[in-house]
Amino acid sequence: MLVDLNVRWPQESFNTPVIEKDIAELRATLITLHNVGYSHVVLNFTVKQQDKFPSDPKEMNPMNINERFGQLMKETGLKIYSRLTLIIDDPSKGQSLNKISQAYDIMAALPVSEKGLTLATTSLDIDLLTFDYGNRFPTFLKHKNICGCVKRGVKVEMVYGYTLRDLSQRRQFVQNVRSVIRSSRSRGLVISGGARNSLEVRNILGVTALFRTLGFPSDKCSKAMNDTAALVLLNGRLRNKSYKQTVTVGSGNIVHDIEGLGNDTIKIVKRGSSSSANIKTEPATKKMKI
Amino acid sequence: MDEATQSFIKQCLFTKNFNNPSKPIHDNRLVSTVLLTPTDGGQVKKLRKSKNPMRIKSFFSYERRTLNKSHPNYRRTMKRSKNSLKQYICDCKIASKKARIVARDPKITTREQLYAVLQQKQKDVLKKLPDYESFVPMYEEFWLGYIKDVLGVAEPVPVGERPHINGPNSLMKLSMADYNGSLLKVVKSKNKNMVGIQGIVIWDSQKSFIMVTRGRLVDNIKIIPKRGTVFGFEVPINDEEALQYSILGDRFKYRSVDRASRKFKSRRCDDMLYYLQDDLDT
Repeated sequence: MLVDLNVRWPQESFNTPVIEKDIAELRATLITLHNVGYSHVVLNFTVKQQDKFPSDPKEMNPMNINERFGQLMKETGLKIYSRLTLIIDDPSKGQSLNKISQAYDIMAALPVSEKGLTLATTSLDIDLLTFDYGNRFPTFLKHKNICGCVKRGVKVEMVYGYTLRDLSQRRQFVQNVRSVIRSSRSRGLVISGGARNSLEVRNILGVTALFRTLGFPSDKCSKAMNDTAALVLLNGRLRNKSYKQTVTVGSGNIVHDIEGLGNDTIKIVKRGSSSSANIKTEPATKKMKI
Repeated sequence: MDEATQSFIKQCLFTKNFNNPSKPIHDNRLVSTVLLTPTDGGQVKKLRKSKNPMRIKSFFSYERRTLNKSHPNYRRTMKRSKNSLKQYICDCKIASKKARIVARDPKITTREQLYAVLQQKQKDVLKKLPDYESFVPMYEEFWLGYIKDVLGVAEPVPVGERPHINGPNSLMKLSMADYNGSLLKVVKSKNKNMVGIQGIVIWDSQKSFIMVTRGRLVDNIKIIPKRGTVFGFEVPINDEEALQYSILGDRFKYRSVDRASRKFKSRRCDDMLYYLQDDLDT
């Protein structure tokens, strides 16, 4: 179960339309990811926090994954999820996340200021914390902040896509990743691609080699791409599909069951697989009394 | 009087004696006709005081009496019921173990044969053997009716149609519902041997579900820990279809009494990795 939590969705905000050419490129990226060995891929839609969210629930998620990539998912067995990343600058301009988080599988935050970082690590209801690795961090990361956030269940993401673009970003990336690893004591870290085209996709061996040189052990690296990333998916799905992680909809794995559920919180199945039907069909055998 | 003295009277003297210092005399007192309300001539007062069985019980005193009246020997009864449940479980376990030893005989292939053999040789075992059939009404008559009532699907929904249910709200109700008497199935577990066990819950304790399960020859009582287990259940809405839900045992570790008033909180789900990994192996 190799998970890539970050493939860029070609749209900057809710208002700009999607271009078909970009979709074709995205499809090529997804096929490449499948060939390289990924089984779960998350499309990442990044918006600014100040932008008004659409009020219509149908417009909240412009991806329409089942319509656009349903065929691809059937052919390759790839599972595609959606993710919304909010760039948090000024916490006072925030909007309520309750409604919009229903439309996405994963919610993530990308703080670009010190205040935004405090908000994201303490109170915001998200699954993933990510940073802009191409630029300098707004503040020095403290162990208390990051580990408190990891303890709460929010994982911290490292995006290797920044190393493949230009030299200054690469230098900044190394510095930033070092500080993230230091402040989190390599707990609760997730590695993802952030690929914009199919050339920026790397397989697990390439990523492990890169992160080993940055001081992240290779066993933890493979765990960060497998188990921890899967937990982020689970956390996100449980937020929408269960009441505070107690009772969930459907039985079996809710992460793998994409088409069956969609954004619905009711699941109707054929009766009799486990329920009372087989009690009725079986003849009642009672104790013999003489 | 000039205005200064008037305001002095209002602020310093009237405020001490009247609720509304600007209006010391109530308007109704100046009305010439005074309304009289009809009375029953003191009948109610009389009845309240007398010891006649027809007397009116004042609601307040009635409630107080019922509150004060706790069960006599509450503690002892509680302890005894706990012990007797424990005794019952142990007896059932021992009896079904003995019955299974008897059933090893290759000649015995059906339940009737086994019971006949037990009737002849070990009557005490047969007496203590748990009986799945006797618990079925508890599920079909009590629990199904109750849970349908909770979800609001008491009327059967036509086949192929969507029931009118508020999804998130129904999940919240289910998290507070009572599961004594429900038919649960272990869908996923850290312990692979437990997957597939299905039975009627006879007691929902803090850390485990105690179930009666149906065996091929011998019924059995099983204590399934909630930790590291996912339980599935179905609520039928008509003859063909059912609503499917599952309980995450890890987050359900409270007694049903405490659960009703509890505020749940999402937690870090690192301990739930088995929920995902199970599927990978198959």
